[in-house]
Amino acid sequence: MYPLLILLFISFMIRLFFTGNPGFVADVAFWKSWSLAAADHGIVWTAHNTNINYPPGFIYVLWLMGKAYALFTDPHNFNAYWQTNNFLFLLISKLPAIIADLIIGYLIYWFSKLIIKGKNLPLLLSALFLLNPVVILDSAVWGQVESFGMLFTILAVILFYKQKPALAAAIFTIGVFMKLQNIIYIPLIYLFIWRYFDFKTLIKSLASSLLVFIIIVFPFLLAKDFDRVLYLMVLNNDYFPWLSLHAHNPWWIVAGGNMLAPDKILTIGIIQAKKLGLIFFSSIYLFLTLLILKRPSIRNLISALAIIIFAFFLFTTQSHDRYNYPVIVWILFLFPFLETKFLHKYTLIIFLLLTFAIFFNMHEGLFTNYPENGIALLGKITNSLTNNLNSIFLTLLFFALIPIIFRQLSQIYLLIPPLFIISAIIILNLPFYIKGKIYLSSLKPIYARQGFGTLQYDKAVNSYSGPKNWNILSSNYFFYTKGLGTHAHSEVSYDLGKKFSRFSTDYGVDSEAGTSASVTFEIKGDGKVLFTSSKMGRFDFPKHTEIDVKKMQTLTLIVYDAGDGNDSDHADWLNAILYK
Amino acid sequence: MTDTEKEEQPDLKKLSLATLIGVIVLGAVVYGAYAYSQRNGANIALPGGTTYLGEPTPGNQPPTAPLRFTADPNVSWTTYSGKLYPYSFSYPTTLILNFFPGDKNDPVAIVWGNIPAQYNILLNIENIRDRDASYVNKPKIDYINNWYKYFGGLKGVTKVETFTNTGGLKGYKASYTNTAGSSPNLDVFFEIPGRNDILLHLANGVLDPDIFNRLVDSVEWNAPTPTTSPTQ
Repeated sequence: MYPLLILLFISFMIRLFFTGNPGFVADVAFWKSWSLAAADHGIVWTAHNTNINYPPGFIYVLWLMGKAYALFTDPHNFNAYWQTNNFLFLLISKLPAIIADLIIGYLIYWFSKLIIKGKNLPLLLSALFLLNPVVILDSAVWGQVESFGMLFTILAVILFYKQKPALAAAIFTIGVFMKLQNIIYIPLIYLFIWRYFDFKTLIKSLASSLLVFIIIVFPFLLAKDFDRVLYLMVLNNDYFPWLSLHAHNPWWIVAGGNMLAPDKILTIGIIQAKKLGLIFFSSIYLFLTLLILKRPSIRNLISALAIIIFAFFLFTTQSHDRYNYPVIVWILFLFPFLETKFLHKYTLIIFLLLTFAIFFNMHEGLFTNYPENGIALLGKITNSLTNNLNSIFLTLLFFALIPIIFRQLSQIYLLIPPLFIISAIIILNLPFYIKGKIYLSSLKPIYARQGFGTLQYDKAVNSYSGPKNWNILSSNYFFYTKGLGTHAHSEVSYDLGKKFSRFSTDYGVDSEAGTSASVTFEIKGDGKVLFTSSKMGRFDFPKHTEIDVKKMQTLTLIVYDAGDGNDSDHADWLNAILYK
Repeated sequence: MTDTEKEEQPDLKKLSLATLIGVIVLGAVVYGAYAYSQRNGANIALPGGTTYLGEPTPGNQPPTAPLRFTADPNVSWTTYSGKLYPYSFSYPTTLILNFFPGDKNDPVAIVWGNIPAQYNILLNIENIRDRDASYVNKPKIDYINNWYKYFGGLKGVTKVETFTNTGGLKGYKASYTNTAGSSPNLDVFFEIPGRNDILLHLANGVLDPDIFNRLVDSVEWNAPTPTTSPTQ
């Protein structure tokens, strides 16, 4: 026991020292704002009056942070509180993740000892986690909470092992409401409960999850504000509509190292990058679902969780530099289950290589934004070439990880992901190549801005405020089922990828607009004006235009306010179609 | 107590010593962490976007400051670099700057007296497309002549002068008339090489004219753009 205590103490001291690093300043600044709001005004108020994009459960943690800080000093002392080197806040905000690190380190030791004889290997596995630079960088330096979010899923897996599925499901649910990435595991976890235990246990587990869910969102229910819970849970979809947020994956290479490269570019046929990423991710998910379905075991559950989070990092767009972190933790929990010495050695090598690659990736994200908070020496070899090489390296490591499940499932199943991908690509492209046209509203723009509300697909702009206000598109009572509902001044750009020849559309002021509406429409191709309409008002009938878009990369639709302000300017692009 | 039981008892001396060493190490590490946090000096960083910043309590209001910030000629100057865009400028080390992580306009504000930083913006990126996209492809002087129209407190342009600073950037010094009929401020706009959709905008605010002029002269636009990665 003493070696473990010494290891935990040393690990804690290392982390404690690095709390002094201001870390990822933007993230810490958000913790400050949200925790202050939670401490001052409570959970529900914070969800409404800040720009928080974390699930509701995490607001409780922020509340604790805010209250803990206020115990020692006044958080309303503006200049002291918002200093980047506010040590007290750095310490308090990093403590939840640091404590989670130590608990996970202990759990690795304890769990390994349940499965394998001897103390040395459990201690080694615990040390590989506690002294891992990736783990220290995330919690103690950066100030993020990956380990805190992971802790709940880890506890759930251990409780499954201990035959306590209902409690495991309850704790897993807490994790989902703490860190949104846990949402990825939901289907696998409940599928596992059904297959590893039985259907009755699944129902009990779902009930315990529901109970926890109600407890967590109770303040929102009390305030009759359940909508906000749903909003916080779906807010992150397209929150950062970019190919990769410094995540060293294939999309980072496609983006050319530009974090702001949009993920609505066309890739294969008319499939946009985001959708293609989801196809790849879904193919792996399907494969792992079959693994759990056919061979439900704790070993395979851990393997599936490791592989799916890796696939999420690698294949989906909008991934962050930190999203790969859980892979190394799951590998350590998987280690005691591995059957052969070869697999032990092989997995250890993969683990070490992953540690190196993930650390380089996370450090790049930190260093690019806050070089003063990173390692200068490593910064010197951080450039577009090494970043791209790391992206390739991490992709290869993903495939190198697959052998951990080779003996668990017939290798014929490995054909499922490629078959799924090919089928999906064909199915999604087929209608376009057969019909020779596609409705513009079935694509998502690479850029969209407007003076009021948000861009609406196949609905008028007022629909942005919720289902109660959904309106069908219409212009002077000519009704349309397809098109874009927007509001002047509006600019919407699509990536055409030089794949279309013609664009046709009707346009006009929507019937829901006030009588003072007046707008003009403009269409640009690759920045060049191709069409300008006359001024149109509320009582004008919709008009039609057709544009040649051969060899064009970008199509931009603009609505101006006709020079008299944008009051009531609800404008529609109606029946907008791109032709092959 | 048997010999076996004695062996199983923890050695109190060793435990006490270990605890003492542990406490000393803990204290030293906490102090080390604090010193580490202070190594790069202080900057105020506010979160990007619209969010809660708290309300100052009466006892902790920043002190009322003189109307103008000035600096002793002996004060050293340091360089500030944009977080999102590759601009940089020099400023006196006695001036406290505030940046806003994640803000797409990459602004820098001056922390001065009891003026909230967000009302005291020194520099920001003017995204022309956000105000009126039709100016993107027009001469920048047109945009600057009409810039006052985006602000309810301004009613006209007084004068606009072109200049080039030491860093070779082409700039415009503009003064605008407010609704009270006076023109108390100076706004500086720099054209950005290779970008017709943005301008670099500086406002003199509380800065002494000599300090502001020297700062404006030091503005540079450096190589490609670093990007910021928000939370989640």
